Amino acid sequence: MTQLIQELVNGVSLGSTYALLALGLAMVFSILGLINFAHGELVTIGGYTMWTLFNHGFPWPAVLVLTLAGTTLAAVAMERIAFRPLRGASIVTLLITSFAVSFFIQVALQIFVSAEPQGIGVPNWTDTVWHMGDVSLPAVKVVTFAVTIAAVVLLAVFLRRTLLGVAMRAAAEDFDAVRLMGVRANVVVVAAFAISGLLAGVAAVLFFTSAPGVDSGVGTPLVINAFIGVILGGLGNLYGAVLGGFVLGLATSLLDANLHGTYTQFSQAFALAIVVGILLLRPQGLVGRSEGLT
Amino acid sequence: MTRVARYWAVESALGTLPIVAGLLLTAVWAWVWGGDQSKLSHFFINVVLVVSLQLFSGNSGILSFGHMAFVGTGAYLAGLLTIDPALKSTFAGLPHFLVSPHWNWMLALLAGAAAAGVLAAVSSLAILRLDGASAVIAILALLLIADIVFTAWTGVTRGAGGLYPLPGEATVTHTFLVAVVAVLVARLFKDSRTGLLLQASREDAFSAASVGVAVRQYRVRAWILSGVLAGAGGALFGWWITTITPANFFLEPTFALIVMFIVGGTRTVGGAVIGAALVTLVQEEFRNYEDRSVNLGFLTLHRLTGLTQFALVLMILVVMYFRREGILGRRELDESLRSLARRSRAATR
Repeated sequence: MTQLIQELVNGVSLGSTYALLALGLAMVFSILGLINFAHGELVTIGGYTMWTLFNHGFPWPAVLVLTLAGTTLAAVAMERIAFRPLRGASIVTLLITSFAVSFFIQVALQIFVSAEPQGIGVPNWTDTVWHMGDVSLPAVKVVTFAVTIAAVVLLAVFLRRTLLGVAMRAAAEDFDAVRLMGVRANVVVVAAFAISGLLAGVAAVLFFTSAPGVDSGVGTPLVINAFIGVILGGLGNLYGAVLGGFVLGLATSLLDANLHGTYTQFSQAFALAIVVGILLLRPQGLVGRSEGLT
Repeated sequence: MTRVARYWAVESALGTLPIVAGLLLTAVWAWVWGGDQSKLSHFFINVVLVVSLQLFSGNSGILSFGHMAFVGTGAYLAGLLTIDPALKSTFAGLPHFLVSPHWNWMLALLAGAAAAGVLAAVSSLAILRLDGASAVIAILALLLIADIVFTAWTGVTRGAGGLYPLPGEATVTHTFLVAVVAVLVARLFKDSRTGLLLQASREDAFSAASVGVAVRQYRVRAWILSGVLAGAGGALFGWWITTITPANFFLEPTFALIVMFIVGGTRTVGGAVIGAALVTLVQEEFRNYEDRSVNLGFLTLHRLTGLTQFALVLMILVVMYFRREGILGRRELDESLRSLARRSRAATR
């Protein structure tokens, strides 16, 4: 029982990272039809920002703010430089371009920043572990979960209560109609990228606090898992993406702990096979209603 | 023209002459004029791989991000069938039926191609029931699954440590022969009834289906044939590089393959071959610079890791932004030559 709870705690914390990234991916996809593979590189950029700032002795609140600002700016720059010239192109063109952007950033980081993995000097108090009976709760994992839920709630409020939020939800339904209503397309698109960048920044801070090491390839497995989460939840469905991220995190954690011997390494393959199965049976995802930013 | 030449298969086989002549010239360069054997074999292998991708994606319009799964399957199986059995008996966990065989290259290549074909047939049951974005995503999932299996099935693949030493069977002669066969198969398929109907579905799947084109069935045929060619290319690739790891069949080579396919022009076999030539040139020439340090005056770069990747990124972005149809566009080389001839004849008249 204790062990099961422990596995669930690990799964939820892993799922939180996936959920935050999946949310950003789904946000951009629902508005532009772009599966942004370079989303993982936003996390990497966040990691390198944290590494640089901590090494120069910045206090942690400054690091937090600057990292979030850094990933948000990077996401907006990505849109402006790489994706705006391709507005309205097919999913394949966009996907290839996002691969290209992803490789470009990885190579640039390798050449200009560092080719070797770097340890991030996070403060020692992040190692705190709380105990509840026999279950040990690392503070980072609890905070990760809490922050993720808070971020999802804030985003939901933003999408429902503000004019820009409503415009974004409308754009996910029918971009042309929104433009006819006098909303500027670029504002909506930039907002979507900025929010996805901000969420990636939050994910980066939480992820690198619990695993304080960064290299240029760290984003790739993360974005792949987030992407699986997005499909699980139904492409373009935000709450579905969050749910998909958590389901994947829990499934990976439970499979890792309960599959025997050599099968553990296949746990992700099982998860992906399940994804293909879901695509076959429910192409609209677990939650359904694939269109709409709600 | 005689009546034989009017039969479509003969005509389209003759249509590959400009490409085959180019390939032959490249081979002669290696055989007679002392061209670099390894680089030119690499070119022929890339031709096989990109032509296999063109066969499926060019005709059906569904870009496959999963072909490296077939390439890897071919490479691992053909590699295992040709490694010296004395050496294989030291591999822990290798199934017995894989330890004893010591096949010649042609048989092993066919086995690798067949295995990839079986994988294609099985995966088609799930993947090709889907359409549009879902199909692209499911094919990407195939690549991810294959990578996990190549990494985790250490008894057979040796995992991330790599399978080696594969025998150097990827000679210029072998690779040249397979490349010519691949080009012929792809061109014949393109001009066949199945190929033409598939191209109709690429332009408008609903219209094609409405006039009775069995879109899914034709896609399945192209997918399997394409998988077989990719498996054959994979077998050659394994023998060429002699040590194979799962990373050889994951995202970076997938991207390189797609660059080859798109830069030359996705609709033609000739375009695919031109793309393969350009990408091979980049891969072979830039690799030498990756380990050097460069002094730009204001800063020194110690290692240009990923320079090849960087060049490929630039290539694809230039094509994406300025010429989405690729270098060759819509027409095969022989078709362009013929219409050029027709126009000049009309001008002189």
